[in-house]
Amino acid sequence: MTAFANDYKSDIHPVWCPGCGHFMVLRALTQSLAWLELDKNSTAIFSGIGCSSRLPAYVDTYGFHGLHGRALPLATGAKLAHPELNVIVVSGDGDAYAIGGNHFLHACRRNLDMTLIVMDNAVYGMTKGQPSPTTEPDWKSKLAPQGTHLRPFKPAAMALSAGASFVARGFAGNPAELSKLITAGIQHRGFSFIEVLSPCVTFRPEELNWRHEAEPLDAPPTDDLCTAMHNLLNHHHLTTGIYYQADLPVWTPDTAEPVPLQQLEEDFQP
Amino acid sequence: MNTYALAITGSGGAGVVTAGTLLLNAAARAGYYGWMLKSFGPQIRGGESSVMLYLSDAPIERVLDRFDLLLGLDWKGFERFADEVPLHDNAVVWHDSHAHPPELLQRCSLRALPLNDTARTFDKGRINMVATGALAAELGLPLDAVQDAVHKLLSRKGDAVVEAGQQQVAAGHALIETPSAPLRNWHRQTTPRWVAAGNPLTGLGLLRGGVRFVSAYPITPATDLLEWLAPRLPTQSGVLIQAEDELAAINMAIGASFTGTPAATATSGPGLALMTEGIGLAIASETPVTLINVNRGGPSTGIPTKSEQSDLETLLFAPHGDSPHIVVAPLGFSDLAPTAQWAAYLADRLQTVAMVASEQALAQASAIVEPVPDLGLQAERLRPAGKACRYAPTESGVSPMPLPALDDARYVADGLEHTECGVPSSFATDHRAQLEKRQRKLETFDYGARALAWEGPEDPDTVLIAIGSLWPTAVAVADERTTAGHPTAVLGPRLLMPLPAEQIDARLAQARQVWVLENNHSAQLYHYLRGHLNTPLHSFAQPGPLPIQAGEVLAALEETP
Ligand SMILES: Cc1ncc(C[n+]2csc(CCOP(=O)(O)OP(=O)(O)O)c2C)c(N)n1
Ligand code: SF4
Repeated sequence: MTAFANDYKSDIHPVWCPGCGHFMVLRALTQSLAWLELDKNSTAIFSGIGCSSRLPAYVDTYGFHGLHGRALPLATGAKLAHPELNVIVVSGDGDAYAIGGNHFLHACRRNLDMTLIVMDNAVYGMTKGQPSPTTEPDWKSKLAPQGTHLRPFKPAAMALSAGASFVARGFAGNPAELSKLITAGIQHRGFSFIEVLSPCVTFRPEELNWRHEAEPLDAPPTDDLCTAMHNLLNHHHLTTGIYYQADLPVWTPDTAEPVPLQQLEEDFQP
Repeated sequence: MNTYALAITGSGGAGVVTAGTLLLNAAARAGYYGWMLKSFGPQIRGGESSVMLYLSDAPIERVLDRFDLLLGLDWKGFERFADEVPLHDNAVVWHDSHAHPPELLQRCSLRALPLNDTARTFDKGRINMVATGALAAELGLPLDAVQDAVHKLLSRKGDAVVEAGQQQVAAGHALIETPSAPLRNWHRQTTPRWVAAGNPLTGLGLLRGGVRFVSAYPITPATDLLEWLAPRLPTQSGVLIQAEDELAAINMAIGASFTGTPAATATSGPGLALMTEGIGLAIASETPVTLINVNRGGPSTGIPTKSEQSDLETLLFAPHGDSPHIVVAPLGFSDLAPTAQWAAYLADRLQTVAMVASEQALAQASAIVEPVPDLGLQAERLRPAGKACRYAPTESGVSPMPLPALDDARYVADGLEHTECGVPSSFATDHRAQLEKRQRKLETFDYGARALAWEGPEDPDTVLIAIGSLWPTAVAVADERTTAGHPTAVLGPRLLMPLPAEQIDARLAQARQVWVLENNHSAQLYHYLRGHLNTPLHSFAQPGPLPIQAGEVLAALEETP
């Protein structure tokens, strides 16, 4: 029986503004789940706080809408406690790179088998328009009336150097390609990072122009870190595709021969 | 009850802790009880250290007011410990013939021993081994008990090392020709006993309670709990992960628990502060987590290696919003394992956060105790029979919790206020219904007899209220007062939140005076109890890092008519 994207949608209506890029990410993700026919009960989507982090409620799998910035630790605990679970994490640029930046680095480094989708709109949508770590230095807003004067992060390059084994970039305006990237990310064994350019039509309407600028990467996926980094830094930030895919060790906790619990009490014999 | 208190101090590398550990183990083998505290200077490694060893012929889990014997292997940095080692008027101070005690000890009765000279007669001889033998002789501990302890401690280093150690102990033993040997007249018991440190016992309690996932970030004085669990959790098919920070640690535990695995984390003040938001998430999303807080001196980075009971208000009130949860306190050292086990059970039964108020003074103490029994309580989750709304109202307030991969009842756990099916909601009706349910489940649960402990006469004139390291001290004070004709009892509120206030008031009704004893500056327990009880209370509050002594409490009580 073939599954359809709609089978994976819940009946809760999204709170997003009409035209928000996050709708397309939801569509691409449910398309991937359908394509992979993932068991709904064995799949869990974790998120933090933000417009993007509202997504788990709109998918008919298990989910956890947690704290701002803390989706990755939630997912890490779940995956370690229950390795058979399909674990997907959805986040925003503020959630993943500002308040949750440390977890982002360490999740890449652990390389657990899970997929992180960050919906990057270079703005804090939910709190109504403040700059994020990927916002341009001269973008003016109420909280930064003269701009931030800070160069934006390069999240994909950070993920590469921190140890993620799958790094890709997609665009919400191209859900068919995005779904392929997400599918490849879920199928990849290890930590898959998918940076998704997802316009905020309300606070960054100019991002609607991304659709004229986005273009596919003209190079094949590589497992060579230098090549991947070169490709990333030598293409403009709207270039989509799989930059890096490598077979790297996935962190596993210590294991040991099982012993009855009472045997541990022997430690306490004088 | 006979007691003997001795302290050993020395600079880093002198082997003070080894000497104390050997004597404690030897005392256990010989059929005595004991309690041992360690104290370290601020250096990370190699700084001066001291051990305080309290021996008795009855279970002992507290400090004694005065020391009978002080041995300095050397005196570097002794000033740092002087406050912690108050001596009896007739106490003796032992020192190496080449290391004269500092000025402040000159008025004590001094005894020089050729400890170093004796050690030097051995290849790689160690002053602490010679000292261990000498102290064992003076106390009246049988030599073979010490030799067995040496064997146990050193056996993994090979027979030659064991034998060398035993010879040095024997040489030290022979130095004391006419020992006072007080222990020889004590009653010895051959019943089985354990020698354990507090943090490992807490870890055992967690495992017994069913905890199989632990995520944490290292912090003194909780780290050795994690280090005890690290090799042992995997033998129980469990997982331990060192998180990148405490924000991650608490959230990892919540994530693991979401899948049905009973989960815990352990930390101390600064880490507890970072976990606060996560604690609120676990409470609001009704995801069970057990949290062990090993209280050190605060605020801020405070006094990392010393004890206090000053995190109590944080444990009770840290999470923002209306966030009912469970806070339990061990009553003394042997209660650490049962309390941790009980907390793990309560967290899962009631789908909330259960916090254990541990303290450095318990967690890093070692003691000879009777084997600590398993309560037989295990974490268990109420699961739905079929499709279910995650936060559905039930009479008990506990809603069946579906588990990923196991139950066909998908939901999204949420820290946003939600409807009974887990859909985010800002409606007043949903908020009130969920708040009420999260409170009700804690208040209607039957916590049983563990919630409150009572020790002493049923009809006392005075009642002392104490938790943690102060429980055994309070019991000793009560004993002494009762014997002196002022019937005194001790009440221990193991269950601090939700507080069984009516039950406590009922127990206190007949008492003439009620005192709350605690080891912090702002009388946190006193103020908390005052907010909930009708009974008038008096406060005895004193901050760390020094432990509160029975004599200080007795004096305070005597001053008050
Ligand atoms: C601890 C904490 N600090 C601040 C907030 C307020 N807050 C909510 S969402 C958000 C930013 C979200 O931005 P982003 O992750 O980029 O997602 P978007 O809304 O743009 O999709 C902030 C600052 C919060 N919820 N929690
Ligand atoms: S504010 Fe921006 S990011 Fe949030 S829903 Fe609206 S368009 Fe999307």
